Amino acid sequence: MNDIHDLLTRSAHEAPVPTPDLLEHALREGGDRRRRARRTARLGLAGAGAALALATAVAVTTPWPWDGAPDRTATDSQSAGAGLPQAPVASGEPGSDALEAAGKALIESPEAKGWRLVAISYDPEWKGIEIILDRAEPDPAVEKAIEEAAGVPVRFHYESRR
Amino acid sequence: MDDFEEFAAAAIPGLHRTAWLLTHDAHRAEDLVQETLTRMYVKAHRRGPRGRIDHPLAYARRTMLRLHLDERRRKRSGEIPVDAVPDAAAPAADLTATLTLREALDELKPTDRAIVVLRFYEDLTHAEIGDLLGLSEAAVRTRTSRAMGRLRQTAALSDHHPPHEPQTLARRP
Repeated sequence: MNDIHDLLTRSAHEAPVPTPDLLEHALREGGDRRRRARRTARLGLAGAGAALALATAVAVTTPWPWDGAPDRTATDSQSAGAGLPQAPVASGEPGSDALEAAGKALIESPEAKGWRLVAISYDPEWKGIEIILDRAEPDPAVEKAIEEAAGVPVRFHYESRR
Repeated sequence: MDDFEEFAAAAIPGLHRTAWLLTHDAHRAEDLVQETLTRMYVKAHRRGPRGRIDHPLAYARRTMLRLHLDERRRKRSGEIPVDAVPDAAAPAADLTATLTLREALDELKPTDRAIVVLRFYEDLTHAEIGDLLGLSEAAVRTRTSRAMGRLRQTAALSDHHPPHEPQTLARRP
């Protein structure tokens, strides 16, 4: 009589020996995933993050289409769009925290539900943030929430593209 | 879990054997174990209570089973069975019986196969299996009986009645 336990045990011991670097692979992949997860958490952009990151990259690598547009909140004489960085702001660089906080505030603001972000960028000379939103009218509550979260001056620009 | 690496190194052989019984495929078995450990690594390195794993081996088993069953569910619709090439490292003492068992196991539904492996290889109780698979204890008992009934239809197991299992399989008039 063949006992099922014995047969399973025999079969289990027929298993090929796992590759010696299986653990190493698992640890490396685990480490990579952990770093990616921490980076995402730092950015605070889970969910809508991809759109924001894309918009940021676009904003800092392409000419601003709204040069000279009404500058609603600037406190100095600098025109909108001047002095923009020419490369995406990486995590840890000046302005990255402010950008992340501003993006997060926009995403989390209930009043800004359904708003579409066109571009966002940090100006290292002015030390402030420029935001373009696909919207006809501003909302003071959203602007205030974003400014408070960013902790740096923020210029808002509204471009209704619909 | 501070000693994750130590745990993983010790757990790999056992997990791999179970994965082998679930799949009878060397590559898939390795992938299952690696993905299980990867997920555990991420979990174990979370800060605070989210990184706490009280029973690492049970957690590993649960993770591996879910991975396996989810993968089977995803593949079920488009899967085309082909003749498996045995990639065993060494012949078993009773090769015929083991090969027959392997074929019989391959015929079972993935969940039923997992139940058989957990019950008769891992020696888990019905309640423990139910907890792992999200089934009631009664459901596990019923499925165990049904799966054993199917296995018993094969020659290698035709005269086998496992202890502690009901003897009422396929005996209804």
